[in-house]
Amino acid sequence: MKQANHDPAPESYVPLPSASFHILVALVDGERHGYAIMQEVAERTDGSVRLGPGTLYGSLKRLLADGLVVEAGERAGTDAGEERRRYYRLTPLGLAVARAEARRLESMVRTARQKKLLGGRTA
Amino acid sequence: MSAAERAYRLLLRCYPRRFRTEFGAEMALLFRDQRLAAATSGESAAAFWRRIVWDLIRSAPRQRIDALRGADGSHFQPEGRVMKALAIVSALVGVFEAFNASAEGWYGGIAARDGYALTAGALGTLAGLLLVVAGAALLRGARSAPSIVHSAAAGCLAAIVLAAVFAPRLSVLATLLGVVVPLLLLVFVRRDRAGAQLA
Repeated sequence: MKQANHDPAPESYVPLPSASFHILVALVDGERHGYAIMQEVAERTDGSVRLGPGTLYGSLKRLLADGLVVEAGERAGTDAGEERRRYYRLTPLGLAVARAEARRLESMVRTARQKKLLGGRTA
Repeated sequence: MSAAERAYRLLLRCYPRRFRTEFGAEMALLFRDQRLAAATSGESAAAFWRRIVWDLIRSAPRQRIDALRGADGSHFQPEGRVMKALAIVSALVGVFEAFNASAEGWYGGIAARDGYALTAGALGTLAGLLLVVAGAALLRGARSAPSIVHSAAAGCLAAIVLAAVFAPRLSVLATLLGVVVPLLLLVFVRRDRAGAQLA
């Protein structure tokens, strides 16, 4: 597993597993807890990606170990009686890796367009 | 807590202990939220559980592999060639001991109708199986390996001593192996513990 404290190049983390990329994108807007991450991903993908507990926390474990995400404390939600939940936050390295992965995907999409696999338009 | 949540908490046992300690409570909470959302959206219980089990099948083996590799830092690593060799020797001797004692118990005990030989054969077989367990635990490198090896080796020694004292029908080779190998295991596990090689 890569160590975060060696300032590795963000490109060395890509390609990211799909679930990890979805989690990083969900955290771009701010701190979220597990269920909020899952909801954000489901809404953004029109329900086509529904991260289960094992996939979500397995990916978070890896992202935490790689220093792409950090825990941002535990707190209860705004609703009365809501349980305390652990929040997660993107690190600067995590943001850079998300950008690197987005660029990689964009390049692939551009190629797909050039090959007229996507609507026949060029980028 | 609902029956579904209790069932999911049981399924969480598919994940390694350290992963469960770290994320189990959050996963159970997420499961509960997802179940409520599924019920609200009209998703059938069967479809929901299919999704949950599929998630488990896809994610638990990965965590188990990480745990076996010691990638999550939770594992006992039998260091050095000697320990690894001892683990293999223990498993092989255990298989030999179990087969040999079974044969001695069968021919001496059942065929020749000798109760002592039958008892010795049973104890020798048990001792052999315990050596296999110790060797496998050592090779697997689980965090609980030292205590498993310790218990299995002690059990093996006890079985051989009992056989030697109360039903002295095991061959000299089987008795010797059944004493020497568990003693070596006990010495090496104790040394490794002292050397702080436990995670």
